[in-house]
Amino acid sequence: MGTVEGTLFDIYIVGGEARLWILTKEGPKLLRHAYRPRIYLEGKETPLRRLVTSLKGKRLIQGARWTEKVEFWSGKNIRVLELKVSGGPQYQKLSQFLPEYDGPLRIYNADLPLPQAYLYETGLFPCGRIRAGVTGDTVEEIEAAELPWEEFTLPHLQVLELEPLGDFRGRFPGIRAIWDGRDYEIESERPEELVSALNSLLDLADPDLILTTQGDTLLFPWLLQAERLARKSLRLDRDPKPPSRFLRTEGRSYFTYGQILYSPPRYPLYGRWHIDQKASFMHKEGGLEGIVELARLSKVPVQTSARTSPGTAISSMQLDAAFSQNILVPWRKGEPEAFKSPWTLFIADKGGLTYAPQVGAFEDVAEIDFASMYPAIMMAHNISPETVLCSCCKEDGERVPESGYHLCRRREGLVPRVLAPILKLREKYKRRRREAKTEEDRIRFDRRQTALKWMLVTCFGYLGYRNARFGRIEAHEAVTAIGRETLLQAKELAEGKGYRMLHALTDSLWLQGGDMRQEVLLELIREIETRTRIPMALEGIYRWVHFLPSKQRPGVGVPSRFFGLFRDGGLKARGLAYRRRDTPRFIQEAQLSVLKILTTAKNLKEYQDLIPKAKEEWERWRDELRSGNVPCHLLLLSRRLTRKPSDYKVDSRTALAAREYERAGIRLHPGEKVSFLLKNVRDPLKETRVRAAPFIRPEDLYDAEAYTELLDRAVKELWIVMEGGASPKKLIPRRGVAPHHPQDEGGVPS
Amino acid sequence: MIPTVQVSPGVPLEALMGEVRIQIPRGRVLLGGSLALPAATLLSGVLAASGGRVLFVDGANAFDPYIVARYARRIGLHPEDILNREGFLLSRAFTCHQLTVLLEERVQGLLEKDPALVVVSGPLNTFMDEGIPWQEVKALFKRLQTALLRISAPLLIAQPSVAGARERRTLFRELPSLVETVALAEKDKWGPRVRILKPLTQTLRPTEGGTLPLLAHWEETRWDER
Amino acid sequence: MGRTVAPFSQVLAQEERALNQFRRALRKEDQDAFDRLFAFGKHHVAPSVYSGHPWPMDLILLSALIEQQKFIEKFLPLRTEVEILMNEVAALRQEINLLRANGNR
Repeated sequence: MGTVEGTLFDIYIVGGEARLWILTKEGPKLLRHAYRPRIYLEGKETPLRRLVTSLKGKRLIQGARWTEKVEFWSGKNIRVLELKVSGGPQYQKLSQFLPEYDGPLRIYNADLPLPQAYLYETGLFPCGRIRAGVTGDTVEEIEAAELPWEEFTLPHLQVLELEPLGDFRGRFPGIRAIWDGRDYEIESERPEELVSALNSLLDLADPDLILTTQGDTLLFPWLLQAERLARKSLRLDRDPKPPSRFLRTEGRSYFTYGQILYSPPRYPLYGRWHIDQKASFMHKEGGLEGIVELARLSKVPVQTSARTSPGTAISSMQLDAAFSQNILVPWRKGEPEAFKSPWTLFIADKGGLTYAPQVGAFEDVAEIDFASMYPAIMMAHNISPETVLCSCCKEDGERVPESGYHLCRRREGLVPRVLAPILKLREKYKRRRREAKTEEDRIRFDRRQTALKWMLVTCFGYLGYRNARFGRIEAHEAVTAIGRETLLQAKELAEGKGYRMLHALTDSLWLQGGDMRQEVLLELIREIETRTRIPMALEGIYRWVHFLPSKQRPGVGVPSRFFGLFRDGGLKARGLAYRRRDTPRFIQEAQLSVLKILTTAKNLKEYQDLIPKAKEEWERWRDELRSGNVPCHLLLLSRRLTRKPSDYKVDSRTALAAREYERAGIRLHPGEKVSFLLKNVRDPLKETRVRAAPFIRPEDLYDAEAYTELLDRAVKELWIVMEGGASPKKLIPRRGVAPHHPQDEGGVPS
Repeated sequence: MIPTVQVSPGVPLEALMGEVRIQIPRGRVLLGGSLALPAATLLSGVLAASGGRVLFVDGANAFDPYIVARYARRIGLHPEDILNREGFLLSRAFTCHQLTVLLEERVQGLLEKDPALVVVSGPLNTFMDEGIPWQEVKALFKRLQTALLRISAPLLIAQPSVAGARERRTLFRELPSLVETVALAEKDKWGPRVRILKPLTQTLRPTEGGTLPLLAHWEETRWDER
Repeated sequence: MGRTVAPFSQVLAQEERALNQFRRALRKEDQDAFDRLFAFGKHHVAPSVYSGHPWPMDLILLSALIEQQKFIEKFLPLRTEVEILMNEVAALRQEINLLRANGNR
């Protein structure tokens, strides 16, 4: 028996074996490990025995035996029949038809992603170091040679970059490939030439990672088409005998948080990674560092981690925790809500407290934030689907405010157990980021902590997500209820010390009027922490901060539209035009450059005095717009489609742009973004009002007037709350504070 | 100011109630139309206020406590007196699995103890979720049908139109066969009203010249509004 | 999942819409005042949601009253000041009159 040591690079299940790609010192190596997935059934013996006989007859399972496992909701041991499934395809088949028996039978572990199940069982994880005993390429024994929580460095990867070349109006773009610092352009009208050219490059480079721009949306669909036309296979996979693919060529549109989003189809490879930087949320947020961090902790293979939400990672960690404690995974989603009185629904069905801030500009404001409030609450109060309204603590469990639900005192919940190490690791990464000596290190640890942040954020959402395996609405409600209570306790403590709460938002408070010395604020924070058991931090002390009014209701503040300057010189802004991704770059830059001038103000008086200078800057940007010389790519607006292009009833700009894509034969889905230029918004001819980005011609001119309007609106945000102060009478500062002292404002809409 | 009980401004709901209420003792009722959900919510509140037991299975995620609160104020009660009354219970289903389990197990369990009116709002809403394979949806729907037929208590199913894939929409055709009365709660130019489409007295056989014209109407109106 | 109960901002809009005809018949300046009162309701949306009080109109009116109360209290001390000033003005006037009378003499 030989030994193989290296890093687990890729894993997938083919038939009755797991295929493992290991990066070793000698290069990538493929290992095979026999793997029989397991499904568990609970029910009466006679019908179960009959079922087993029939399943054996169909060769779906190899055997069955009785065993004891833990039932998730009750925490009690139950006797179940363990089915040893013949392999991956058989498992899929079973998970399709077994549900028909659900009801009289209880089915467990029947709908798991198999590569992950294999990793839970073996304790291996993606990008982790392993040690295996092998005969030939067959694994006899295998173990992880490190823990996922340990410090890791990215394995050294051969990266081949691919991106489309040229425009893509109907015709295929061609490919630009970058490997080893060299550029290659692959362009040909003949598919077979393209395929051979790319193949020779693949042979030459033998890349571990194919990093694409628009690979999922454009390149791969096209490459596979070329492959079909050429009748010659592309050697994209490293596996010489890759399993056959069932490719979905259409992505899907889905709803989340009141927004429709589009997820393009995926093109994973076998033995190599394909990551489309444009389609991967995690790549955008945390880069390869973030993806690998997520994959290691969650045991979701890298390519899947790149393209799924952090929610999938959290869910996988819960599954892993369940496996390690012998807990059965209930088939399908979640526990239905317990019957409750409609009054309880009315009381419990609320989110976090979101105040409308006092509109105006204020000086000396402290912002204090609870750190990862919801995950911290889940930990501090042991909130998990199985601990809320548990059967064991009806009498003496902790009571949730408002709804009065009880929480388990006897069993540690699955969710807190999963969260604890993530919170700890994130703190560690944040510390490493602070202490980083090089910029490279700082970025590395920032990316890792960002990946973890997203996991923490989604963990809460997952409790209430309808398709979450370990979801339960009452757990979700309990977290927000304790969140409201926590915020109010903080408010009361602060007000007790003479502070005035200008604004509060779920887990953050903006305080004014009291003692603004840092050590006094930190003392307040310590008191709040002791009282609430939730960690809190001083986000900063603003020299000045503007809370902006709603665009629809000028007098009313909106929770997340504010900007301010901290004492340490840092700027914090939310909801300003320059922060919004749909704002044209030119407008973003213009607003930011005007804002830069204003952020030299140490107080509101200085701010007011700087406005004339800021207006000069504004005028410069306006002149540039009017000159007609701004490059079109800086003026693109982007909007998400809320429906199919043909379903738009009104000829909005977005609809007009979307139709231009459609006319060129490019199919768009709800949730996809379109970007376009405003050409002549008042043109009676609708077709020429806007121009979709890919179709901009050099002779296209932009609508300077329309863009000036956008610019003006963006710039005016910067002093809109001081506008009232323009008249000399109100300029007289009262009680030492310039124009809009809160006492004057009093939340009274002007 | 004492508000009237309204679905939306200018649409008082009491008018709708009488007719639906009359139908319930005569057997299972399927209520369609754009006002089906508020009507079912109000009706459950009205019955609870008069001492009836109600189990509200909220598949549409649409129980609006404010409708009952306005009704309470109108009859001089505090909303809590109705919404928190013993015997008025609610559970929301967010997936078709949850809905099926609720009706198969939980509702049956509660009914064994005490009879009650069972209200099921939007049972098909959860079945439109494209994330769940059609095969599985079909199997679950069969179980749902069985569970609904097993309910011996009075039953009100409120099912407004919802968007969904074509094959999934065929499930809508199955609903009328589960009930004795089909009614539509809608708003037309004279205000809200209920139309009885499949009365108790009329026996329905597929041989009677295909679908009844009125039932066909029920199917047509399924998609008129979101 | 979750969020079955309509968000308070929506309930508030419903209440406002239910009074459409009332608002329509108001004079323009009264309509503006009406809109400002509802804006107060929006300003206090967080406490309203938290309250668990089932009659939204109560909360909207209370929110408006709170803002009015603050306004009143802010100007209440002014009344004393105004009284003092008025007394002073009266005294000055008296003095002026006295001076005039003296001058005429």
